[in-house]
Amino acid sequence: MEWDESLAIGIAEIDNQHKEIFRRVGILIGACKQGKGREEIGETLGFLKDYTVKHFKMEEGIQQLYGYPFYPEHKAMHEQFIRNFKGIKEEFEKKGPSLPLVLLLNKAVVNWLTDHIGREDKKIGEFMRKKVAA
Amino acid sequence: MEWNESFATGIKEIDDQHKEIFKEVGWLLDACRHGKGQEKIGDMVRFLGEYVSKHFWMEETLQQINDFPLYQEHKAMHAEFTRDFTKLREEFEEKGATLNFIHRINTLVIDWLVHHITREDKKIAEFIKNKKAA
Repeated sequence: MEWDESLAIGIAEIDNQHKEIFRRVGILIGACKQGKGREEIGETLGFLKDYTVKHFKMEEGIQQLYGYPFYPEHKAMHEQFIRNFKGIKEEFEKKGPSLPLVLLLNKAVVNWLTDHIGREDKKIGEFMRKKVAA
Repeated sequence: MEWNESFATGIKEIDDQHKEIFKEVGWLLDACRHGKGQEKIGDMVRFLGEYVSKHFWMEETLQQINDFPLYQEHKAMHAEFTRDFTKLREEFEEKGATLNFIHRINTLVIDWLVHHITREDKKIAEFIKNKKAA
């Protein structure tokens, strides 16, 4: 899973953070392939905790600033991801790292990269290029 | 982004010029939301080029005349803004109005209006008012 130019929105602030989450998910997947997923899960969750807050706030701020028409839907997706993520994190804190939890987290983040960054965030880029930089 | 009383310093010369920059930013954001960002950004760059030298010079002169104790610090903030802006303008001259450029100009100016005017410029006005009252 690597970030490539086709995912670029054109605002460096957003793109750099997307590159960062791709990198971090790559580390998690790499660890899983070596059978070390359980060792890595805590790190990934710690990263996501700060990342989701900082990144979503920034992305939503930009959407509001330029009047992105799908802002409410987009924000709802962010909230949904946070709920999902929190569920996994609480499970981790209660029961520690387990293989099912690693798989659950893997699925959540991989879906996020492909469905959200690969589809929804791209729409922001299209809007921005058409509207803001037109 | 509109000027309102919460941005007032109480010194007419300063407030009038602040209103001017607020108006320009408002126009630019409006253009960005209506597919005319690229058309308007060149005007903004030209406006800012003239505005910062005129406005900073006026503010700094006022501070010197009144022996404002934070003159050096304030001047340094102006110099930093000018540096950031000059760097951005060079990028604009080289690469044109990319989406990233437009967004960075917006962010630079909005942060400045919100943080510098509300926090730093009010200190000048308070000092001058207290001095006159003493």
